[in-house]
Formats: sequence, structure tokens, C-alpha cells
Amino acid sequence: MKIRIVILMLFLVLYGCSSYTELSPDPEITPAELGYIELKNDDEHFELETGEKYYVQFPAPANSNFYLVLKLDSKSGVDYYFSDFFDDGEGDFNKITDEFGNDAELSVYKINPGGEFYYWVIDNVRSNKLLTMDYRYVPQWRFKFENRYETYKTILDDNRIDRSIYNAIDENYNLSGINYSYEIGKLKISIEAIGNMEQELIDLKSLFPSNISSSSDPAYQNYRELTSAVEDELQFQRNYLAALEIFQLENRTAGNTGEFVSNADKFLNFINNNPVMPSRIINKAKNLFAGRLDETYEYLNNLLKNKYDTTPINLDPPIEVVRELYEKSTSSVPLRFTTLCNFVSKFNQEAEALMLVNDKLIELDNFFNAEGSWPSNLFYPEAIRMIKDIIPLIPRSELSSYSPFSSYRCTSALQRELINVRNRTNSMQDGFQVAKVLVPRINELKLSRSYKNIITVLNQNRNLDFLLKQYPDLDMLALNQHRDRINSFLAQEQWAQAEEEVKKMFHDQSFIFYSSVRDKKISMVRDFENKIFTGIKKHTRETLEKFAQNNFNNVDNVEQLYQGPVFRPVHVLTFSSYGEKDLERKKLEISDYIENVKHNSFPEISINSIYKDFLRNKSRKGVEKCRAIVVHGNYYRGNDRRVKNIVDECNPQVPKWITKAKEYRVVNALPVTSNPNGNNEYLFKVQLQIPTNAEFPVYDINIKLPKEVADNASSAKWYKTITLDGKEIKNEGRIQLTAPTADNNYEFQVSPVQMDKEGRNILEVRFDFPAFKVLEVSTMAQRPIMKRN
Amino acid sequence: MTNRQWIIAGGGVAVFVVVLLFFLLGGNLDGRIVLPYIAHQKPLVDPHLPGSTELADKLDEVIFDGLFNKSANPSGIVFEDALGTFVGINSKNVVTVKLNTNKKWHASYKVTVEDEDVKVTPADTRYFTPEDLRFTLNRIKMLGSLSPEYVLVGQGLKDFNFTGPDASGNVQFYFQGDREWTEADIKEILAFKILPANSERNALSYQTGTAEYLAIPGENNVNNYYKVPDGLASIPSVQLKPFIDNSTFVTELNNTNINVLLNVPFGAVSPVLDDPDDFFSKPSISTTFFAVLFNTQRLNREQRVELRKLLNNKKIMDRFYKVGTEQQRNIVDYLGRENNYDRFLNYSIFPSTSYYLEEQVIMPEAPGGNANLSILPDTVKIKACAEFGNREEYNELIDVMNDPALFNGKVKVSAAGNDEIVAGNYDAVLIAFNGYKSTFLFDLYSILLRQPDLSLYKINLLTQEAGRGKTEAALSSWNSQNNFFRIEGLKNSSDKEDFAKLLEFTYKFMSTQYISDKQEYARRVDMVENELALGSWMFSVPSLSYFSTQFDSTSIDLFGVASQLSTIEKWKDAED
Repeated sequence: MKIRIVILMLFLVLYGCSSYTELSPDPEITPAELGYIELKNDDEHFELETGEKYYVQFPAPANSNFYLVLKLDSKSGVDYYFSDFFDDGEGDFNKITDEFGNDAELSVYKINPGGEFYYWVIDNVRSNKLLTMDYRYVPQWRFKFENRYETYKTILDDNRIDRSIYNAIDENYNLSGINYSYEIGKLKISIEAIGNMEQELIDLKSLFPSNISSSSDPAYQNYRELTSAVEDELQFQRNYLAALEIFQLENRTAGNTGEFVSNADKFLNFINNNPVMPSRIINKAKNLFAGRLDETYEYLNNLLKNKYDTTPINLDPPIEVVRELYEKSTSSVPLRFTTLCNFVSKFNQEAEALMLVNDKLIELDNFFNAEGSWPSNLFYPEAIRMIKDIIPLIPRSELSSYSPFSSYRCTSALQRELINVRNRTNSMQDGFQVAKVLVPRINELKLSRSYKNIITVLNQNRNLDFLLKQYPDLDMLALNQHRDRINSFLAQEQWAQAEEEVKKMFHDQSFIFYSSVRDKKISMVRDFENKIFTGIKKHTRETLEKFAQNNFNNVDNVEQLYQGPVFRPVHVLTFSSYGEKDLERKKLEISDYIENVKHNSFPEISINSIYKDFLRNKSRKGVEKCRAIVVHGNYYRGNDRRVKNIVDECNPQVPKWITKAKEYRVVNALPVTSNPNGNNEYLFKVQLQIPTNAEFPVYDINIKLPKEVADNASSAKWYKTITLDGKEIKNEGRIQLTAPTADNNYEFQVSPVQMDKEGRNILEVRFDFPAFKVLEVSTMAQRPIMKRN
Repeated sequence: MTNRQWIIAGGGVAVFVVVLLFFLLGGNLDGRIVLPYIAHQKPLVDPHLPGSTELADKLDEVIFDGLFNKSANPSGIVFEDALGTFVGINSKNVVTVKLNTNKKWHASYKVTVEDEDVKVTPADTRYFTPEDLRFTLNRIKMLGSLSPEYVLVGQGLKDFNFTGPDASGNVQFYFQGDREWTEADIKEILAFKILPANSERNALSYQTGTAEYLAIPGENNVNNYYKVPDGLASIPSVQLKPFIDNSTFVTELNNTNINVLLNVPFGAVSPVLDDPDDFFSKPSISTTFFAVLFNTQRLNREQRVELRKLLNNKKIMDRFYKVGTEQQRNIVDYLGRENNYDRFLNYSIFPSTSYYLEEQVIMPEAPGGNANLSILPDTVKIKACAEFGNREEYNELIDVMNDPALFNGKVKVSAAGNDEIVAGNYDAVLIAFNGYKSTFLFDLYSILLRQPDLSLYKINLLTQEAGRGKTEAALSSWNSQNNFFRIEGLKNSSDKEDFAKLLEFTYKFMSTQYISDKQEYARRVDMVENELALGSWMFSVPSLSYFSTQFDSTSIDLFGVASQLSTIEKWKDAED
């Protein structure tokens, strides 16, 4: 029991979910063209229930290009579509467009006789209602035409144009009263409206059945009557528009011949081949053109006068159009205009010939280009053949016979260019003949890398520029050959030879295209100059470093060290591509380096080293060391105060500064004579430079002497001379000299010594001593005391 | 005998007579050093004050010792131990000196002289003691700026005193700490001559010392000197020989009546003494300058300025030395430069040869322009007294300056007796200043404050308390009777203020122990004097001494003219 109930329920559900109910009208639907037929079922309207689905089968028409027109009381309340396929709403199908989709009542579907049925499917009823609907099978043209016929008539009527002006235009008609813009604007609107309508009517033709021409169908007859009227109105309006546009164009170019000429083709077209245009209007146009064409000569003449180039004279439209317009609009064309036209024609003929020759010459150039550099022996025979073919193509200008145009600049230019090209080609022909001989020679010289000789050969024929161009790398080959030679000298440090070659390179202008290698050559020269310069510096530096290493500690013959060749440049530069200033700068840099070694580093290192050794042992060759230091010091120009102080310390001629009172300072007394085994004169100097506020500062100078020097001071004067600023001091008068004795620890005193604040205040002491060695004395200055005399 | 034989015999007798006369009449001064002096200018020896004569100052070295004696050798000054031995100086500048108390005062000997035969025999021995040293220091301190020693010693010693002696006989001196004291400097400070403690503090002359020569009675009541027993002097006797004036000095030397002439007249090279076999000479720096001092009582400042312009010293000096004539007196300065007369011209109270000019502390200019004679008296009366030395020079100058071609008779120079000088009976006085020092110790007192009496040497310096323990010169030092310029310090005059300044600066110059002060006050003195125009400073004369070749020239080392005799004990007779 339960199972039965389930099955029943399932059935009911399935039943309820499917299914479109077919509405089968009675009478049945017929596809014949019978006007609107109400869709009923035994005179009853179908009842449509809310939520239910329905469909109606419409048979396909017998002929093509039909519409099925459905007229509902209201499209609202149901949702529907139309298709040529229906399977209870399943499967793939196309919905046919409702061409009256926006209409409140009508739905129109294209239908054709291909299938059996079309289906009108209601897939939703929004509320219960009665289906009130008519249907109609109707040819599409009829349905469309019927629907638009009244509209068409209205369009035609609304867009008709008054023909009075059009009809009035003849040769004598005064066009000045026409409002072109207004008329043309109006015409364009009407033509467009009528034109569109005409197109629709024409389109309807494609929907006509084949046998309609013999039909008396009133719709068709209306169609024919309407289209005839439309065609007539359109022809009129179009003619009228064309005429007005031409007249307006002509009118608009008044005073502007150029624009008139540029529209000559339009004018010519208007009067040519225009059978539908009334002749009276064409004649009116010709009259207008004739009145303007006389002015075209001056216009074109001016164009020619202002043309300077040799290109063909390209007018738009071509001058022949103007000439034809002239011929068609007037009874005769003026001779001068005819001459102008002929000149233009001849000019263009010659200009085009020139262009052809130039094209040929470009081909010849291409032939050269294809051959590239270093041509083979066979190249020029072929080039000669090609040039011979070109020469006959060059016309001899006949423009001189077209007066006055023969004097125009474009004419002169063309004539000149033709002459030029003729001369050029002739010259090329001659040159090719020479090149034909030279090339084998050059190719032979190339084998021996005699580039400079090749350059010489070519430079002797510099007129053969085409040939010269065929050796673009020759200059570089020669230059590189020179470069290799210089490099060889440099490798062997043959600075003079290298520099000489660089100088030659710098001055060498014997090249094919000097300007193209000049920069490279200059660059090369500069590079070599730099190499020579740096090479000399490097060589100099290494030599000097070795020299310094070997001699810095030498104390014998020091003066000779400085006179040696090592302090001269290995080569004195004589050339600089930058000029004398640069040469001097380089020479100065080298000499500065040498000078720096000579006057700075070498003496400095020597002085420091020898002095260090001197301090270690003054008794061992102490005098020689001091003298060596002094000689080094004579050459030293550095700023190292310490080095200078050392030199000063070792130079007995240099006063030793006493800058602080009460402090003893050791001074080396050194022989100024050179008797290694006997008596020598010794010298030491001290200079007072003690800061003081005193205006006339005075000091005692105390000098502690070595015992060996002062030992006999009581029996013999220990000093030879004592001077203060060159003035001899005696133990007399205002200055007192206190003798060195064993009692006073051999301390000698000079007092008082006036210190001139601006002066040198040099106390110089000379004494004899039987030895050749360094003697140390110790000096001190301080405030003096007054003394008895 | 033939005539020829008579002639030969006669010649032989003549030679014999000449030789005999040479030995009988000619001087033989072996073993003696004989020095001349002006008879009425007896040398009054005071080792601490400038002497009345140059010779007096030089004799200090003959008689007296210091703790250390300043001497000389060929290399310069040396200090020899005398009454002291240098022990050392510590870091606090305390100097230790061992006193030589074994040294005897000359009073320890009895001297008898019979016919030039001198016998020195021991008497009551009196040794040098610390009290002698203390007495001497006190005396120097008392003398103040009158004594150069006051300045010299004061540079080193904080006070004029010492401590000790200790058991070793050492005494300590406290030296100033502002400099490094070398041994030589210490000895310089301590080289003042020492008098015995029993001496009078203000004796006219001092004769008892401890040096190598002791005083013995001599001619004209002037002592001679004889070497002490066991002394080091090589030549036994030093004799002073009186003469009327210096005009005969050259002749006396040439005649071997003297053998040392410390200052030849004019300082000029003597043609008479030019035989190097007989004489040798030693030039030294000038010690004498001539000046014309204006009497401020008779000449106002304006006149003094014009008179200074009038007295062109260059012209006078050229005449004086007869420059450019055949009789030119040739000179040589101490550096050996010959005939550089212009260097001796003076334009300041400080002579050109002095330190202050040499070092340009003072740079005076010669008076510019011509003198306005209308301002001057009709005749400017200049007096010169030639009775107290430099007679030769005075006489020459009087002649020169009276030459009408020189001053158009505007100046009348006349020789005068000392009484006229004393009385101030002159518009100006021509005077020679002898024995001036070219060192820092140039003596302004001897010029500005000397009693205008050439027969004595007196400095009229009066001092007064200036507060804070300092003293200053009293303006009363100057009155018209006690200086050559007849300056009245207290009298109201347009010059009074400048007189006061001059005195102040002079005193400070003389008393300062600092060189820089010396320089500054020298400048000020020069400036004020220049404005006051107190005198025309004329020129210095060179100093040239002559020695007989009796002496070994290498044994005579001179340093400074005032110390010409400081090495006298080392002088030796030349070996034959």
C-alpha cells in the first residue's frame, strides 16, 4: 500500500514539473497570406493559468521572405519566445528575434519555408489570463512597405525642393542671388532623407517575389509610383546640388587662382560627361570658367619663376587638365598658355631623363660599393662599360627655345645639371681609363706593403677621387706601419730615433684623406710622446735610484758626484706636438725630477746618512763627512728644516744660532784648510738670535773650548781672529775677551756683544790647530755684566 | 907719527870717548820700569775711586790684589788667584771662595832705600784676613756710585757681604740668580782690590796692598815700588819719574830716562820713537778727549747753542793734527787703523769711541747750520789751563782756536792759571778729560760734577734719601763753585728743570747695575745735555803707548788702558 502511494506521488510530481501544454487552435493555423486570423479554440480563447507553460505550432510558409506576425492584446502577463525547434523546452535551439520587440502588441518573426513548424512558446504565465491573439502570415516586403508607405510619402513630401531657381539657371542667369550655403545645406538634408528612403525601397526589391512585376498588387503599384517619384526628385536635387557646389566652388576661388587651378579637375569633370545635367547649366559653368582661366597663366608662370630645382614640375591637377578645361570652356586657348604647357612638358621630359641618368649613376655607385676597397684589375674595364651606357641617356636640353621660360632659374638649373652630369660622366669615363692602368700597379705595390708609395701614386692622381675612395684603409696602413717602426725604437730605448720618427709622423700630411687620419695620427703621436716622456722619466728614475743607492754614503769627491752625467737627462726632448710650452713643461718635469733628486732626495738622504755616521764617530773622517754634508747641502734645495740644520751644523761658514740665553750649544769647529798632517785654520761662527724686548740687547758669549785648543792659550793667543759682524774684535776698549784657562775650564768669553735686533750678530772665530779633525766647542749667551777694563 | 897716524889715533880716541860717554851719561834702566808723571800731579792711588791722574788708576794694579786678579795673556783676559781661590758655585748661585790668608800685607815688610839700593826685610807680619775683605766691601758699598766697583760688584752680589769663613777658610758669596755665572764672571765680580781693614775709609791715597810691588819712598814725595820678597815680579823696581809737563816725555824716553810712556802726547805716532830696534808701541782705545765747557752763568742756553755750532770740531781737529800737511800727526787706533781722524770727533758728552756710540745706543748729530754770531758776546773768552797735563795739546789747541781764519776772532782762547778756572773767570773752559773709560763704566761724574780745580780731583755728588731705601742725587750737588759749567742747581732759571733732569739721569746712569738702564739713562743724559748745550765735545785723542825695547814685547799684554799695568809683574827684560 505504501509503495503504491509513493509511486502515485512520484507520478504526480513528474507530471506537475514537465510539460508544456500545446495549444491547438481550432480552426487550425494555416500559413497562407490571409491577413490577421484570431487564434481560438472553438471560438474560445485559450485560458492560460498562472505558472503554466504552453506552446503553439505554426506551420512554415510556402514561400520565402515571410513574416509571422502575432498581435496580442498585451504582451504583458506572459513570457514567450519563438523558435524553429521545440522539444518540451529541452535541447539546443535558437530563439528567433522579435523584430517588433519593443512594440506593445506586435511580435514579428522571419519565417521561411525550410522546416515544418515554428513554435511560439509561453514559458511563463504571470497570472491567469485568456490568450487574445491574432496571427498573420505575410510577405516581408508587403508587411514592411505597408508599415512604411505613409511614412515614405510624408518623407518625400517633406523633402521636396523648389525647382524654380534650378530651372531658371542658364548662361544668363545671375548666380549672385543664390544663397549657396543655405541651398546646399537644405539639399544635402533632403537628399539624405530621400536617399535613405530610396535605399529602403531598393532594399525591398530583394524581397519581391520573382513574378511581381506583372502583378497588379496594389501595394506593389504603390511601390512603383512612389519609387518613380523618389527617383525624379533625387535626380533633380542631385543635379541641383552638383551645380550649386560647382558654382559655389568657383565663386569661392574668386581671387585665388591657385585654388581655382587646384580644382580644375572638378570643374572639368562637371562639364565633361554629365548627361543628366541640363546643358544650360553646363554652359553657365563654362562661361564662369572661361572668365577665370585667363588668370591661370600668370599664376602658373609665377610658379615656374619661383622654382629653382631640377625636379619635374608636378601640378595637381596636371597642367593638361587646366589646358583641357581651357579648351572645353573657351573657343581658343592663348598661345602663351600653350607655350607654358609645352615648356612644362619639355622640362619634365628632360628632368625625368636626368633622374634616370642619376639612377644609373647610383647603379654605378652601387657597383663601386659592391666592389668595396682595393678593386681588382677587372673592375675598371667593367666600370668603363657601364659609364659608356649612361652617357647616351643624357639629353641635350631644348629648354632654351621656350621663351620666356628659358631664362627661369629652374631652367638654368636643369640645363646646368645636365651639363654637369654630362661632364661628370665624361670625366668618369676618362678617369676610369686611367684607373684601369693604375689599379694593377697599386695591387702590385700592395704585395710589398709599400703603402707610402701607393699613397704617392694616388696623390699624383688626386683628381680620381672615385679611385682614392677605394683605398679607405690605406692611410691607416701607412700610419700603422710608421707606428710599428717607432715602437721598435722605443723597445730598444732609442729615445732620440723614436722622437725623430714621432716628429716626422706629426709633420707627415702625405695621406690620401689626411683629415680622416689626422685625429688618429695625432692621437698616435701623443701616445708616443707620452711613451717617450714616461720612458725617459722611468729610465732616469731607475738610473738615479741606482746612483743614489751606490753613492749616498760617499764622503769623497762629493762634488764630482753632482757633476756626473747621471744628473743629465738620458735624452733631452726636442719636440712636442702640443708646442713649445708643452715641450718645456715636459723637459721641466724631467729636469725637475732630476733636479729634485739632485737638489732634494739625494742630498737629503746623503746628508741624513752621513750625519748619522758622523754623530756615531766624529773622530773618524769627521771633517770629510762634514765637508761632504756641506757639498750635499750646497745642492740641497728642499724645505726640510732639519736637513738644512744638519748642513748648517757641518758648515763652519754658517753661523750657529744661539736662540736661548743661558743654554750651552755645541758647535763644530772645523778646519777651513786641508792639511791632513799639519796645521790647519779652524773656523766657527755663532749668531745671536735671542728673543728679547730690549731695544739694544747685549750679551756675553761664552765658548767652552777643547782643552787641546786652549791649553797653550796663556802663552800664545789661541785664536787667529775674532770678528763681530765682520768687525775685528780685540781685547781692548769696550769689549773684553776672557782667556780660556784650566781654571775656568777653558771657557772663553766675549763681552759685551751687542745684538742688533735687525742685524745678523755673527761672531766669527778663526784659530789654528795642528790637526785635521772636528773640534767641539760649546757656546752660550746670556745677560752680560759690566766689567772692568 | 905721520899725519895719517895722527888721524887714526885721533879717531880711536874719539870712539873711545863716545863709548865712555854712552856708558856714563846714557840711561841704563835694566831692572827698572820707569814711568813719567807731571811733578805737581802726584798720583793719588785709590783702588776704588777714579784717580786724579791716569797713572794713579794704573798703579792700582801694581799695589793691590783682589780675591782674583784680572790679568791678560795673548788670548785675552785671565783671572789669577790672588787673595782667593775659586772653589765652586752651587745650583743656588752660592759661590765658595777659599781665602788666601797666607798672603801678607806690604806692611809686613820693612823697606830701606840708600842710593837707590832697596832693602826689603820682614817686619811684623800681617796676613790677609776676612775682615780685610769685609772692610773693603763695606767701603765700596759706602762709596756707592762714586765707585765703579760699586756697580761692578753689585751686579753679582745680592748684598755687599759674605758668610764665613768656615774651618777650611772658605767664604760664601750669594750671587744673583738671573744668569748663569761662569767662573770667569764670578772672578770678574770678585776682582775688586782689597784694602787692609785698618785703612782709613776716606784716605787721600792708599799704599798698602798685597800685590807684587810694594811702595817705597821715591822722588818728589811720590812712592816708587819694589817687588816683594819671594814675589813673582820679573823686574824688581817700578819708578815714577817727575817732569814739569808732558812736552819732554818723548825726549826722555828717547834718552832712556824713562822706558815706558803710557800716553804719548797727541796720541800720535812719534817720529822720534820710530826706531823699532829701540822702541815698540801698543795702541789702545782713547782715554782722553778735549771739550769746551760752557759757563752757564755767563752764557744762556741760546748762546750756548750758537757757540756749539761755532766751534767746529772737525776744523779744529784737522788743524790740531795738521791733517793734510807735511807736518801731519799720524795716528793709529786700537784696531790698527791709521789716520782715521774723523772717528775721533765727538758730538755728545759720550765720546765716539765709547760703547754708547759704538753700539749706537746714542746717535748724536753734528750741530747743523751756521752759528748766529749776533747772539754771542762780542768775544767768547775761553780759558785753558795747561798746568795739569797735556801741555803740548793745550798749547796747540790755543793756537789753533785763536786762528782768526777759523772763527773770525769771535773766540779768544787764552792760557790761564788754575786760579782763574777755580774762580770761573771764563765764558768757557777748554779742558782735557783724561782716563775716561769707553766701556759701560764711562764716568759722567768726572765731567759734570768735578770740582773746577785742576789741582785736585773731587766729585761733588750729594745724595739724599728718596724713600724705600733708595737714594737720589741732591740738586744741591750743583752750585756755581763746584762744577766747570758753573751750574746752579737750586737757582731759579729757565734751565733749572733741565739741570735737575740731567742730574737725575746722571746719577741713575752712574749708579745702576743694569746694562739696559745704563743704555736708557745714557740716551736721556745725551738728550738733556744736547738741549742744554753745556759744551762742545770736540774730539778724543788716540792712545798710544811706547815701550823701550829693553822689555820683551811679548811679555807685555795689554787689555784696556786702565789696566795697562795689570800684568806688570810679568814684564820681562828682553834677552840680549
